[in-house]
Amino acid sequence: MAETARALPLSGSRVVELGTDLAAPYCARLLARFGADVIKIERPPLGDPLRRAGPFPDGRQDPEHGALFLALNAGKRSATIDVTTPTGRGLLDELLAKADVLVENLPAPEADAIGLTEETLGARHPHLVHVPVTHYGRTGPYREWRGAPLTASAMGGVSVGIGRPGGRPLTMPFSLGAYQAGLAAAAGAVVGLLARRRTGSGQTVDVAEMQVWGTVHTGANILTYLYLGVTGIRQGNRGIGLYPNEFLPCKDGFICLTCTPLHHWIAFLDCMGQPEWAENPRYRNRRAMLEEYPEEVDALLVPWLRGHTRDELFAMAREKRFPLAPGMTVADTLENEHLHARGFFDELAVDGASVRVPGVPSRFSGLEPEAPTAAPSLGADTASVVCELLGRTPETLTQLRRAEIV
Amino acid sequence: MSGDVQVAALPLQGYRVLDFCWVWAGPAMTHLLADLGAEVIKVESRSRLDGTRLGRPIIGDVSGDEGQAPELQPLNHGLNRNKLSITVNLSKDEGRDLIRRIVPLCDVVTDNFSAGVMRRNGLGYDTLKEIRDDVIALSLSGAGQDGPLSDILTLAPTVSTLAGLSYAIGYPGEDPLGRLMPPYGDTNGSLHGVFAILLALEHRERTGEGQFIDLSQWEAAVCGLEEPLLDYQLNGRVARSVGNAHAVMAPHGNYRCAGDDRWVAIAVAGDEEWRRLGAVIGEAWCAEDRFADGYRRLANREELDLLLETWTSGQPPEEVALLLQTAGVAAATVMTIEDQFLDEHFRERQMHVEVEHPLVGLEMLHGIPWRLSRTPGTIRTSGPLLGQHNDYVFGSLLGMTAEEIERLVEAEVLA
Repeated sequence: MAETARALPLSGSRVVELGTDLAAPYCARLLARFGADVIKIERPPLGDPLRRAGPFPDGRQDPEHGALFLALNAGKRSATIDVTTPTGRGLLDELLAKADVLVENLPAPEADAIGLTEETLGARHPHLVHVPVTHYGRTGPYREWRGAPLTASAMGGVSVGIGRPGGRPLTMPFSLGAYQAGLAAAAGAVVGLLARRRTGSGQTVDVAEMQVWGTVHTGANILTYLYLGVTGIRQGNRGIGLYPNEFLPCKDGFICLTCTPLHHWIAFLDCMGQPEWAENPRYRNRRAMLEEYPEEVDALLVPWLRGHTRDELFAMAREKRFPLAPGMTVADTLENEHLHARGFFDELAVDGASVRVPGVPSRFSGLEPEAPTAAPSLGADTASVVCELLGRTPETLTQLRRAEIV
Repeated sequence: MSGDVQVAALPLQGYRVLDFCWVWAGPAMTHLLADLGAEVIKVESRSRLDGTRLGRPIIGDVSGDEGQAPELQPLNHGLNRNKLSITVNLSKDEGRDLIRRIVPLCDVVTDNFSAGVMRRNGLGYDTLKEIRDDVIALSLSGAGQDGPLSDILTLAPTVSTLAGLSYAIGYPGEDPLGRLMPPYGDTNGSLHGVFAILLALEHRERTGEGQFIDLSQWEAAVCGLEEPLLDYQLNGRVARSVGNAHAVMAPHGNYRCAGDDRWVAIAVAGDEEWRRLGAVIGEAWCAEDRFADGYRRLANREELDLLLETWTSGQPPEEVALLLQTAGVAAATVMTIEDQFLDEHFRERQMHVEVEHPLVGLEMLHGIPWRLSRTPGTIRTSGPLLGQHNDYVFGSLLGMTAEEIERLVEAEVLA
């Protein structure tokens, strides 16, 4: 693999993060892993609320050991500055003059109030790549609306597609939307840096979680819906298009079966010992099977599937070359030998114990992302940021602390 | 539009991508590069059509599953907008030679084949690097280029299943449904791929060095599962059919509204938002002790959801969302694509863009995920016709004569 890297792509780039919760911190963590110096600005006295959210080891609440916070903020520096005070705002301004990227997720009115807008930043810090990452974006009638991954998944056209036909729509689970928004924001930050090489100026890269869902994830379906009709959006355990594209039970759990090209379907039927079905028009026409009588075909498949474990079925699929996956839980994912053989997981220390977190899914032949280091305690780097970077004296720092600005 | 404006609008203009991607994950990745101005040359072949060139066509009702309507496929247009198409038969030596002549002109080479396919076609990274030392090559395979399961075949649903995500999709207390409408395994992989290519371009700008990137869709799908992976390791909980429930927030769900299959999403983050919600609803149950704080709302979540739904179910979701947002509570309509077309916020953010297709006329495609204030990118063309740009690539870029190109078409090399 890599002949270890010299410089990383973002070495020497400075990122200021005014981020809380998941999306903005995830964006900045991705940039940190590729070499950026990330300074996370937290509001005193409590800092990022994610510090006080879980999961905690054995459920014991402890702001030093919120595992998700530790994972999302590994490799950053933390400085506490109250940017809502004029003095704090001034410190931020000085910091932005020395930064390449600002990642923030402030509610729009707060961002407006301290001048984190396209107009103000464009005038004061024309070199800066400003990346607001919010649920609905910084423009449009919903810019001040409140949000959560649930509402972004709903607005982005994702939830309407998950669940039983006619049944309650299901959201994308967990905070997947925040991770999508954070990833899009990290990519957008690099677009901003590449563009700056040509144009000489920064810009605002406005990232909206619902927009990432509505373009990257569901956007390519627009024409299909327009031309083929907006019906039957939720299909329960089935996909749309051709049969079989389903999540089905087996002997010891579930499998996902997607044999929509004819040669894959034939390979599956061979495994089942029913190759002659492929000669029968009723079981050869995969579109008709999906759209007209999927239950009938399921009823033929499931008894056979129930006779085999997910691992047996997976092994058959590998041998006969068709896509079928064993229904894995997150516990299975953590133990998976393939992921371990590729060295995918990173180790993270939480309260003295070591846990595994997802690593970088891309292996670069010529560079090695930084391994995650410990996340900073609240304000751990305030002194170095205020004194070394911004040139304040220790006495000034003491005054700022007394005034509760830092 | 003047040349200068064009350059300013397109941050990746000047980069050229030789694109072997097909189906969904890869094309979704490379169209984002094209939207930002990269010149993406899609390499395809009539003898092995991209899967999204099959299926039910936009015009006519014949099934195109056997490849009768490759240029009239709605999904193909959305996933391949802004790209150029060349048709090259890679099973012929002359076809592979032609590709090797294009490589020196390309900054990036992309594929989403199974592991090892590019190498077997004589287009592995080592070969590409010999042709162009600073080339960036990215392979977006299902399980990565090495490891004991690198040979498996995957599609988006099996990627989500391998990651442990499908198991979480379903109604609480029931077997998992396991299915996601957006092909998350693909689309998530595509966004990770864009990020990786952008990083490699920035690295090349700084050092002059190219790169091979081995990106696993499976690993990419695990990346967003940090919360349940940590929750399992620290608290022993295995995520299964999690529904709309949230670990901390209640109410938190999609609630039925007036109309056919209309729903509103409501997420109440804390006690202050709960009081605001109660003030809007104004019914006695909102003030009951059993819902007074977060712990009690979580403990009595099911009754709370039922009561809340009796309130939402008489009203259209847009009205509920507006009422609640005005009061400071997170809410949004569970939108279909039709809802999105009618929505002012979507219009304002240019989430749908009209573009001309040579056979179909005006089409509505999705916008760009980022709103870049100075270099926004553009949707310039819909998906290309098969081989629409053979003359440009082989004539203008490689300098071949019309006769040569004609001969290659007749010899079924450009086919």
